[in-house]
Amino acid sequence: MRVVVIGAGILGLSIAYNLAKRGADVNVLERQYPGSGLSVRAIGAIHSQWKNEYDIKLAKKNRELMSRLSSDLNFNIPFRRDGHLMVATGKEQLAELEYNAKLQRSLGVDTNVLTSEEIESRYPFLNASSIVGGTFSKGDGSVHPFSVVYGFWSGLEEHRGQLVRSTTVTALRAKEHRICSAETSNGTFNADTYVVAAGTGSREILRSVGLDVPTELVKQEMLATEPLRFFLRPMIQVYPEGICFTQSLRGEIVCELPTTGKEIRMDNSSTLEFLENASTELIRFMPGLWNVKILRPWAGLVETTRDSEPVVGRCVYDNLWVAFADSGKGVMFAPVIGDLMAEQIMSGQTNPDLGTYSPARLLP
Amino acid sequence: MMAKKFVCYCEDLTEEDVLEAIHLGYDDIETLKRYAGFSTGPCQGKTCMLQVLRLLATEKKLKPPDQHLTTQRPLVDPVRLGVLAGIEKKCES
Repeated sequence: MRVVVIGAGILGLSIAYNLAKRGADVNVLERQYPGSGLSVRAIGAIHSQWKNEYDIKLAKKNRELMSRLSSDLNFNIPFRRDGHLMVATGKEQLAELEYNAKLQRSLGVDTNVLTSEEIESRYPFLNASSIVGGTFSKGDGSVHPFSVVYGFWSGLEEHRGQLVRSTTVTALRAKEHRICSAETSNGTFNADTYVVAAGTGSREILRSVGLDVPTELVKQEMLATEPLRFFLRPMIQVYPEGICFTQSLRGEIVCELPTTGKEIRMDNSSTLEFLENASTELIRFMPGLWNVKILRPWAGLVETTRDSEPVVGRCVYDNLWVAFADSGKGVMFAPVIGDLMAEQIMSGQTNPDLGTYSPARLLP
Repeated sequence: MMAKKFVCYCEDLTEEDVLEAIHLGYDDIETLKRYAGFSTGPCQGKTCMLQVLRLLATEKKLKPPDQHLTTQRPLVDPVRLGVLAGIEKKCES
């Protein structure tokens, strides 16, 4: 089977690698460089503390796949299973976390509920005065996203797949129920199957064959501080949409926060608002950091949908598959989405585990 | 013993390290930066960027129109969190 995958982000490369491993002849078309959209901008949280059964099941499978990735790809992928701590600053949020934890435990995820006092004694560097409690899962952790992108790329080439860079897809061509070619800045590409995993460029490509999947963009900004002696193990996230931070293996404190403000430029630019908000939030939860210097901020656009779930699956045409609008789950779910998608594409059978992400739910 | 030629002191990279990465296929400036790590330390590229561009241009035989820098971000020099949070004075007193 010949497959063209559009987009060498973490999802496109994961799908491409998993297809090549199963014997497909794969070309990945990338307009810039591997991971250039959002993949190399993530801070790499890998957790399973979701509120829906399907997300929890996928996340559980995903973290097992992630922990095997280094040996599967023969590439050094530092996945640290140092845990993920979600903290609540209000009673309502804590009730939600407790409810979610119960569901997670019933599905075999090791989530524990912690009181404010327990959090304070476990993490003495945290100012827990505004924290009412939280949940912690020891098998969660964080990964260095670049290494996953480059690992899938190297695994793809190992299985004779190809990454074609500096190639922009301008349109797909369809005939009746099938896609018959991809027109690019670098000529026409033909294949048996087409996968659109082009991040925020996907909608435009799909419009060329009459498909319009409604999505929204959210701006996220990240920063890294100067390196400090290692002290902060887990990823800590203020539930549901507050700051998320950890310490990288190089010792930097890294964090991410959605950009708020009146006139947000929806691009990858950095804003002063974010630097001020993130600094305030970091000091609020870790007062000891006030004297630590920020080295650099960066930014990315997260594409999401009305139900905050990715768009993954077969899309209207018999040989067209999509994986985009990752809703913040791109790096987090890349191994499991790649594995299940490749299985579906090779067999032509849809997998119920991914059914909730089907594009059909968003199309008229 | 061969002398080492450093291109990035922050991340401890020599010319040899950068050339090895280029030969492995991490051969555009953005990918090379993320694989090798230059320009991500305290100097944020002020020492290393031109050195790496020179190596990349020589290896890949690039002419100026095909060369570009990675995105330049704010904070010319590192700034304390306390300053940006507006509480610097309170913390010092």
